[in-house]
Amino acid sequence: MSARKRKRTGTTTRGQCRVLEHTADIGLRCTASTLEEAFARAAHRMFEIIVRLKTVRPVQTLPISVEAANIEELFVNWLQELLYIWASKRMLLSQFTIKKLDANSVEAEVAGEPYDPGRHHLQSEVKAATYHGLQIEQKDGVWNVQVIFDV
Amino acid sequence: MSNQIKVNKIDDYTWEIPKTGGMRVPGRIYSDEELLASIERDNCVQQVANVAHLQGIVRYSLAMPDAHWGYGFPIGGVAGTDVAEGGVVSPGGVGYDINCGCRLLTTNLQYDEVKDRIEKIVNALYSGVPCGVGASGAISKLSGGELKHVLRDGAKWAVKHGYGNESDLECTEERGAMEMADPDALSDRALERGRDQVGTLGSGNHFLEVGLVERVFDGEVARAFGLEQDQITVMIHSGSRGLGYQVCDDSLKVMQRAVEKYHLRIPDRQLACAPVESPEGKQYLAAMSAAANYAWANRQVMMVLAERAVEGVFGASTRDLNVRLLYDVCHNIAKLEQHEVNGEKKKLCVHRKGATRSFPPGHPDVPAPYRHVGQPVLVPGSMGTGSFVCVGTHEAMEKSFGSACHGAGRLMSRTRAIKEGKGRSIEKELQEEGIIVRARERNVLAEEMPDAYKDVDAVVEVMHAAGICRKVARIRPLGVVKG
Repeated sequence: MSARKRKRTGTTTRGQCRVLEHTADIGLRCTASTLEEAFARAAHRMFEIIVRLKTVRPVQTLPISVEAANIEELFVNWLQELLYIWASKRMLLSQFTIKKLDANSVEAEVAGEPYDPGRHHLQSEVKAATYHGLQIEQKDGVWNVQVIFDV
Repeated sequence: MSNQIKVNKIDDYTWEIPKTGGMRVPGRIYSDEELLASIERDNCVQQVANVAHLQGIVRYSLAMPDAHWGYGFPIGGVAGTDVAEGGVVSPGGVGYDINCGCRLLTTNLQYDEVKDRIEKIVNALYSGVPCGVGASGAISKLSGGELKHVLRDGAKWAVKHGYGNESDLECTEERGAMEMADPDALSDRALERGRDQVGTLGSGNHFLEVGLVERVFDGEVARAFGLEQDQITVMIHSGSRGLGYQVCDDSLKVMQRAVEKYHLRIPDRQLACAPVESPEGKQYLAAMSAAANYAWANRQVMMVLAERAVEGVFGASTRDLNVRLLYDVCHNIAKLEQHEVNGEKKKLCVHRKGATRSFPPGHPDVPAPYRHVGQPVLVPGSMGTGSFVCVGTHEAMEKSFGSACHGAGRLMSRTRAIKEGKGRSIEKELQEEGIIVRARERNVLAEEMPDAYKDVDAVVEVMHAAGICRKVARIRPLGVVKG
């Protein structure tokens, strides 16, 4: 799939994720050949909403472990855990490596650095990842994940 | 999809979704034809119909004229459920930003005294009130124990710590603290997120605004509220910050399980809920109330920081400027209230998600100085347009459980607003209209541009014509601070 920006009615694209139109919030739809990659891409694109990730250096690493009753809840919990790291540790994240993933748990290593107001120009506040319009599906060998953020 | 749901006209400002399928009550939308077209376009009608499925819902599933698509409930949605009949409470009917709301301050300043100092005032507010994503620091990081006092006491905590006066509490909805609050109902995560954000504005559609009373519609009520033509006002719009979002997120997980436990049939998982009287329902209301109290403490602190900023510009004290809190309203909340349903007094759980309480003259919950005229209803417009002060009515109790609109409501997605804003300087456009704006985040001016919102004059006109709240005064913005 081309990494070029594609203009579609009501969407913008960057890499394998596109931003979805929503009146009050922001949605993402990410595609990948594996579910692990889809999880990582969605996390990356979520932080891109918050800050220009080119300015965030992956100098500190954190292990992440999240559990849930099912894959949909797991996806939301994964994103919520990353938002919590930003909110509580004031740490911006730019690299996401999934180590292990099944329907009920994900283990990952994420990397980033503490927020520096001099270098990191914040763009939008993401309050939460919601279940609104949530989709996790595999079609024709491609994983598609969709989530809407309350901003 | 919305355009497949039939919407019947009842009168020029009232539209009904007939009760069909699993709906327990009809839907009612207060709107004019033009606003209804945007409500129909963005799937909001479907959400109004979905809310009508909630167990215990009475009369109607309601939407205000500023309604738009939200999480489960539409934003601008109102629903009352009968507690005694197993009525449910749904966190989606309150929203992530619990007790997002606003307060309006009046002063004795007139336009001529400030017109050459707007930029100074805006800059003073911008540096005096912490705002923006991740802002912290108005009050040093609180200990866990102290935070629990904030969660119990709300605005009163702030007053006890030197931010404002007891008289401010009288002019705050719920006197700035809901009694149902229980700090122990919050998760450690929620508490952690709340420790260093007291007195911070936040981002997105939160703002501080210096305004001018440009028109008075109802002289008697304006006098009762202490409003007059050409008066300078300050409005603060903010909520419960990260603590509130975490409470909502934690609650949604619990409610997903509760839906199965209590065999509740909901057409949309985002309407996850539990009976008010269940342990899950009680816990949510206790946590929600604590988060609401946090937001009131927050607005109380920010009010004083704003006052100090304005004092600094004029070299005069708050007393000299006669800065006074007119009222503080919340517009994301669930309340247990008495309402008459089919001639019987019932205890209802009234959800107001992007909707403002609008109580009538004589109601005991209206502050004593205003009780003879009714509750002040504050309706902020978008950045750069007008805001309104309205007053609550008896008709609102009959039509909408004493609920009115909360603002202008969004029309355009944030991504589209950013696209529309490319190549434009929103800051300059507003300046050409005589409005000074300061914002910390790059995208927020484009995202929040006036074109992205519905016409607040039209929204308020619907409420006025429908008798749900009456116009008292229109305020024109002079200066805006955005996070």
